[in-house]
Amino acid sequence: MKFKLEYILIFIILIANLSFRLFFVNSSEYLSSDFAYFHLRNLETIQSTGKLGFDELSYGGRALIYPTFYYYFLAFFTFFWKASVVLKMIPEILISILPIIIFLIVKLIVKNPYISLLCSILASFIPIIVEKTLNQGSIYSIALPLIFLMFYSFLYALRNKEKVYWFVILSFILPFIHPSAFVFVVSMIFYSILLISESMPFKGLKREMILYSSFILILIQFMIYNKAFSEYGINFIYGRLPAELVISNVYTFSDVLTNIGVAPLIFGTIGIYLGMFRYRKNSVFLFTSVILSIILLLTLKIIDFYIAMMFIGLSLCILSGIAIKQFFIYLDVTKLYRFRNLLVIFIVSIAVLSISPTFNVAYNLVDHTISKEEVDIIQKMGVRIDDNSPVFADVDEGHYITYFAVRKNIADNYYLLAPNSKERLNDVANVYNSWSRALALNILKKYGVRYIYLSERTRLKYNIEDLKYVEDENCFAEIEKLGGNKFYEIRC
Amino acid sequence: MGINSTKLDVSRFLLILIVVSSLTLAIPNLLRTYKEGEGLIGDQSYLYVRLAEYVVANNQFPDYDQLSFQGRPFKYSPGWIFLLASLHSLVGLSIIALSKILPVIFGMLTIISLFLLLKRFRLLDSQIISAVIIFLLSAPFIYISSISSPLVVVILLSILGFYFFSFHSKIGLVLSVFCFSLIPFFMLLYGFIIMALLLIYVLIIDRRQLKKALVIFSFFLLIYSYFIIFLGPINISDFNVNETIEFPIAEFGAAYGISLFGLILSLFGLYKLYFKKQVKIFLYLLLPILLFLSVKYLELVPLVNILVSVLAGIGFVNLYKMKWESQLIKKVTLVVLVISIVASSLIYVNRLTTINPSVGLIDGVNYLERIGGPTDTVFAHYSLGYYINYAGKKDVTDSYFLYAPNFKKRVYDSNRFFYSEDVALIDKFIKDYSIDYVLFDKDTYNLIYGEKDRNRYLPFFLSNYKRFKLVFNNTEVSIWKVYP
Repeated sequence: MKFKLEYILIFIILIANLSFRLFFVNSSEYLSSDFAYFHLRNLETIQSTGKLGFDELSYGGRALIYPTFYYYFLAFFTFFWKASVVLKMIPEILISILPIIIFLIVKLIVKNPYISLLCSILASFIPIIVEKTLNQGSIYSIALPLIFLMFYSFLYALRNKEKVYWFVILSFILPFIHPSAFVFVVSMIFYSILLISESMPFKGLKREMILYSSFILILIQFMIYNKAFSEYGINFIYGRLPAELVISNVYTFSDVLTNIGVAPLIFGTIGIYLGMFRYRKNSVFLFTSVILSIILLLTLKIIDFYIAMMFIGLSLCILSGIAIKQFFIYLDVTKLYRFRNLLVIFIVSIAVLSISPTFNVAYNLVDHTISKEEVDIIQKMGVRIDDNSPVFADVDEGHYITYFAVRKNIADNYYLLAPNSKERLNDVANVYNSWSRALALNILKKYGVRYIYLSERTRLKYNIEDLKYVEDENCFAEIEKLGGNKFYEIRC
Repeated sequence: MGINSTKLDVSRFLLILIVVSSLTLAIPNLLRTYKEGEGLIGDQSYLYVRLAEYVVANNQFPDYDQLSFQGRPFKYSPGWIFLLASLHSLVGLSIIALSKILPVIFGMLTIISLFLLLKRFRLLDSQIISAVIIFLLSAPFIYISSISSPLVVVILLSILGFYFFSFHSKIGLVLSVFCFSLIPFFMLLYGFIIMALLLIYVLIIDRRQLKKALVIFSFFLLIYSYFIIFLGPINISDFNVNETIEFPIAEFGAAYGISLFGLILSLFGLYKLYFKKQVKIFLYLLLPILLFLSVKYLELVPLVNILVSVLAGIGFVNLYKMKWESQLIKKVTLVVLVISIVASSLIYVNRLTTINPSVGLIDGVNYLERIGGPTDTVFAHYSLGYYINYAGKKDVTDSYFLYAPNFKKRVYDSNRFFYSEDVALIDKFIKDYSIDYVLFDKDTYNLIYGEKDRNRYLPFFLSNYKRFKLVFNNTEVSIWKVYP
């Protein structure tokens, strides 16, 4: 049996991507984000009880709705490894498959394996994808490959009608994985509008697949989240993110650039132009629709900026293929043809160089991973607290408290169905920022708090040296200190 | 075999419809009784039970209601109260039992009338069947057939009115006039809407019927003249207005919103009718107006729901008959759609069994009934007014704004009281309205204060001001007694 070179190369890309990820995963004993410990707790809950329901520790007790399919999938591997190991390894393997899917999509569009390989390299090292999925057990490790596999199966079914069942099956699975499946629905709506407005054919299997996938995705999402929908209505889509968090951040072009990378942005934009206006390619309309729908969702503040960047980044990588292909076609009819190889090397160099910022992102991520000192002090306090009182910690460390100390927190960064999230977020900020002992005590008493956790990262976040009202030792006693992290006990 | 390949056996289908609809519509109240014990669904049910009991006790319609808005003239739409009271006297069933049974019976009749009306409009049998089933399973219809309110009668009368109107005979006209004329006696607002609907229909679709429509129109004018002369001028802004501007979609948590899937399917129905000029003008004019109005006046949702269901039925058949390239996708899509409509309905029925009044609220109402005297006033958000009255206590405001005395000032003062940060303002309100108790339930508390700082405003004073003492508290309801 003879292997094609392109398959060997894509396998090398897969291994390189996986090695890159595993290198950084193994450089820390712990997971690299607070939210990863939310996943780990859920996975362990699924492992022991088989379901998610009421979380007794988060927000002092709250109803928990989160897609469970991901955990059931990971739970299978817990028969062989510890849950923490599974959460470190399996998502990295899953997300490493993404470049292969991008390769297949680009190959389907440009019909050139080497350009497809180049695009898959670009997709492997999009900074934002690394930042949001590396060593975090992120659900996007499975959601992103699946969504793009859906796009692939959509395009593939248009060419091979008898293979439509793949699309049917994936449409059924995707909504069980993650609510971001609605990105697919919105993209399909945009795609339909674009096709109609550009007088492109919109009929037959294409129309049928769009109808079917939209219906099934909406149905399953409603079935899973009907409680949340009935409670929050359309606001559910915001994940009940407190209004300040939804609207406060302003992002600039440089944010887009640093999150997506220079190469996909330049080649992808040219790809959109060429595909839309010169060659009117169906597949370009599809991925342009993805970008447009993401921009719309971003404008409406329905989607998080970083998630939006992941989708846009991947779509631009795919569209880059068209720009690169057209560039070489154009090159062949010019006198610069003599320098073809030189230009190939140049483009590959740009692609490879564009990877370098991703290393910085990865190193930075590992640097900011929770330290052994932090874990020790939190665990120590967990043992020390002998009652049911919650631990006061910053929202971005709430899951550390629930996982390592196995104690209630006041708030964490999973807001869906969280009780009085805005009020709690304000209270947390007030306790760390306030000069007023009375105000802080009032808030702490409201939640029945006995211990406050002040970590190095919280001090950096709020730009404080210490809590400003703790000089009264009769009221606030520092009972544990390890490195820059400490616990205060409230004694008045 | 095609969806419309056999001729519909009308009598058999009607029989099936009667059985299925009565079973479907009885489920919410049966489930509610099973899950939450005795009790009615929705606050309106408590209003009409109280008023009907009031009428039965007085053997006539009284002139004055002592409890609502601390006393107001008895200017309620009399239809539903009369039905409950007279049937209670005739049949001997309790008013509570009648409040559960009557909506189901009227609901069933509505389904049959819709079927007959669609037959008159010469839709395909398959379109009629799907439209009727979608309507039967729709959230607004299940809602109005589960609560004790005149809405279900009004919908029935509207459909019957149009049904008889479609006959070109004198008896048809008489029956149509009779049905339409009864509507204002059940709900004043609907009278206006049906009148407008009829005129638009005649002007766009069937101008030959203009004379008949004018006869009905003049009857309407007579009835409204009666209301204006005997009850006073009608101010459209006095009808119950939806506080939040959100389109009522059942899946998005609306108490009785339109089904999202029905709405999507109706787009396919609209597309199908796009090529019928007059129908197109009628629908394209009517739907946006009704949708806009139903955002403001939730009571119009059941009316919009009829249109949406019929269009959805047409849309479903249209999808079925469409030429599909992939049979696999066709089958799966249609199955998904059927599951969506049924699942959406089941989820709604489940929600309906747990919506207000909750067990905790009923306990609170029972507590109110036991304490104090009948002259005591309980202050709460207006949406709790009917329960307060049902407990035999006066409220400051409730949801029946029409002909309510100074309701705008009362609502304004109530809001100032809710958000007061000043003891003097609180004392003044208590004195002005002779408040004896303050009641909050979880929903109204969240509605009023939402994400606001709860350490300010009235809740702060309820906890810290010596004039307030918490006398009742459970997971849903808190009641404070106000001391002089």
